[in-house]
Amino acid sequence: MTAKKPADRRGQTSLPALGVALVLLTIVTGLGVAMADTAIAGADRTPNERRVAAAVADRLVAADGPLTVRENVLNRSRVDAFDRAALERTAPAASEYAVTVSLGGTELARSGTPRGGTRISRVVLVESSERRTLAPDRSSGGAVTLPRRSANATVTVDPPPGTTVWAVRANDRTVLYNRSGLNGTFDVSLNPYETTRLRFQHAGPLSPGNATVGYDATRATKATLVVTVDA
Amino acid sequence: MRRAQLPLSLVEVAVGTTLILGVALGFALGTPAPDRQEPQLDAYAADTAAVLANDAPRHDGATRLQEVVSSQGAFDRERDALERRVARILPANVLFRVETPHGTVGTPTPRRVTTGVATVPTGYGRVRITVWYA
Repeated sequence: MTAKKPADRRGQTSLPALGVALVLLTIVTGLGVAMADTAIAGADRTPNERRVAAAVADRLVAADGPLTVRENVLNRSRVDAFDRAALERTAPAASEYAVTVSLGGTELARSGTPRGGTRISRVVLVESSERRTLAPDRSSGGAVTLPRRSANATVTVDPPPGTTVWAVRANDRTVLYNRSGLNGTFDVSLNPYETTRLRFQHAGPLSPGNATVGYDATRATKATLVVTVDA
Repeated sequence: MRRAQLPLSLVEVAVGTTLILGVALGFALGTPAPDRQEPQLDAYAADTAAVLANDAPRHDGATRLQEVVSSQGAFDRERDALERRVARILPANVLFRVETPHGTVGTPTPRRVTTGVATVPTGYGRVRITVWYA
């Protein structure tokens, strides 16, 4: 036997090549898993900052929030009284994150100093009310129409001698009634969803000074409430 | 005959690398980018609905929102005023579409944009407000 058998000359997997292959495969697997991990972490729909910002903003404009009278309607005096303690009471997350609340560019409260961070803006109405009084005049037949819708009004009746005011009607509803005559100041509740016309039913002359109606004239202005959160 | 042979393990590593990189690429490209605009847009839509529900009506009805959906005639009369009001409520870079039972106002919603939606039930049907960044 001089010549080698063909079986001995077959291409064989060499050990160094196997080692290199294993190392390469391991590196690639590691890289692949790292890439997948990053991709999944990046796809997290609600990262904490954004979640906290949205929740704090939601809480501030909710109907039972610390600033609001109704949903999305803020009360001016409550807005003025808002501070850091109120913010942390409303949104406990504010003590862990740096949160700033500002309304129309003016900062209301802050906990910490956010650098950059995530912002959520909400469109709100800021309502401020002012007490106004009206008196019925003779041309309107002893009636007075409130120019703005209001949930309540204060009626003051001070009739001159010889005059009796026995009822006050709001649209078709009797809100005050006393057969022997009304005299004094009364709070009446009205329907805020309709325009109210108050009518005094009286016997005898009634001059404008003898009956007055006080009501809250509310003025709502649009503003933007911005909540900034930095983790 | 002595043929030059590629070591089998190198062939295997090439195949394996391609396979693993393919799977990883699927993860990297297949997961959509997180949508950072949606919470803000949803908030804008909800705020628009709340502000409309709070506005006093121009003619009659309980609220501005109820007034515009109460009848076809009322909607036709209020269409322009409603569009102006909603445009004033929202920031300038946000476009909107308001769908009511009697018709719609605003810009047609483009496809493939992130939108925020708020639906308000009223006594006359649903009002749907869609907003998106211009």
